[in-house]
Amino acid sequence: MRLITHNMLSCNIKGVTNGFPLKIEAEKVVEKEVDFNPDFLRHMFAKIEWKALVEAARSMGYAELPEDSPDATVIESADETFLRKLHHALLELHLEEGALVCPETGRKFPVNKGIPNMLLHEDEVKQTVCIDLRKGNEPTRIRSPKDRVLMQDVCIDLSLQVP
Amino acid sequence: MGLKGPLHGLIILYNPTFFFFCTLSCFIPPSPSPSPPCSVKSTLLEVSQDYPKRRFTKSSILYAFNLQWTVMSEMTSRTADVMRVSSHCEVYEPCDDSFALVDALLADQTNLINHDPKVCMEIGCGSGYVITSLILLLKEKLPNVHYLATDTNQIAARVTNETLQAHGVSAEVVCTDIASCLEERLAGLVDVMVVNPPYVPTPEYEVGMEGIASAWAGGENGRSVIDRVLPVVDRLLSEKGWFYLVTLTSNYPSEICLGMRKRGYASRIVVQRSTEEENLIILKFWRDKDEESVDKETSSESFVKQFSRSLSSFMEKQWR
Repeated sequence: MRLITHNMLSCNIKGVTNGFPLKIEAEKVVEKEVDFNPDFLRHMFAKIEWKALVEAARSMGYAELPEDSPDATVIESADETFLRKLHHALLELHLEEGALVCPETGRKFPVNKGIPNMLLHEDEVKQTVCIDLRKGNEPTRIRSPKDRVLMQDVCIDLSLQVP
Repeated sequence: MGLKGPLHGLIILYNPTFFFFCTLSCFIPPSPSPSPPCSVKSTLLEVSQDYPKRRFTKSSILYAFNLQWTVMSEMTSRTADVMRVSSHCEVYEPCDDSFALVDALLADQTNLINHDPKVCMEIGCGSGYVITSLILLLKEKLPNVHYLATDTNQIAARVTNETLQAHGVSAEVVCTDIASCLEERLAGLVDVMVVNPPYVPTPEYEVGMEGIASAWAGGENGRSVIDRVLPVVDRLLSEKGWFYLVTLTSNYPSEICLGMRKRGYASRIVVQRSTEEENLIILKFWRDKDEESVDKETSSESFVKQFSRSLSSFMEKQWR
């Protein structure tokens, strides 16, 4: 997993309001060379959450990014020293093994072979259930009998009319 | 991808680059390919029985074969190679639906390159065949695109990684339900979204079960997962975003298009294909604001389409 992806990941456990950024616990970091493309970096820069990137790069052992977000002139300038650093941090550092930790709950998401496993347990999922009264159907989002016990935020759409 | 005789000529016809070759190869009946898949075998036999009547010399058949071979070898290098796709018993292997989706991307290749996407994403990547093909399609002209792939099956995520590595390309694979952990931060950033959802109509309880069932179980009308994916895609797509979706006729695709229309999307069918078991329809969606410009882009393509259609009907008549 590259840091550009890390910058897009957040924890969405039920009830968590601020699941971003996930803290990185690095066990194995790999560097893979990627072609340098300033246009792509300029395009992505606007979408990057700077503080999260600096923190993430630091936990991966790369501390050369400036603490404060550089302004637009640095990004647009012909001098590529900054862009090269950004390029390395965003695209060339890979987290192979380790974990991502939710800042609010401390829940750990393992990263194996470069793939973060962000799957939630059943009791962590936000449930929105719609019961169709017309057909007398089962709630549409029930997956297993166990879910029925776990449902807490049940919402019934009362606009549906029983014939 | 299997050799599909006259069919594969038609597929390439959508792509203007091959236009010249195909018109040539289409006028000459296709020669039997080295290992045709069973379903194509019978048509090939019929065709080869026609050879004497049509008075084709041996050399012209050989020429056609060579032409087809060059077109095909170029084609296989542009999409993922099935032989190099990694597999696992709990992961859906590339099948007709995956091939149809890749053919749709191939048909739209020139438009995709002009579209100049920065971020491409596949939801439900399975074996990784589709995302790898997409990367190979764009790699030459657009070397710096960020690719993301998600799957709810952990083994599928791993298999996708292996497939990507076998083809010497890379994408970011995340194991998550649809795109739940990316929805917040990736919103409005994806320029091309590709989804081959679990679309098979099944009992509702089969939906979202672990392992390979998650690759096909689609609940009532096969729509349970599709209906959950659509709002997520709407959120993730950028202003100029394009969205390719695999559906069956039994999923009521017109209803899907109508639903997306309400969200402000225009749509069209890119590929329609009937296999032994299912009627596949590959839909493409884009935000309505750009409808004019997209129409312009696709007008040349629709001409090629119409031409290929008339050509194929003409060929059919000739062979009879």
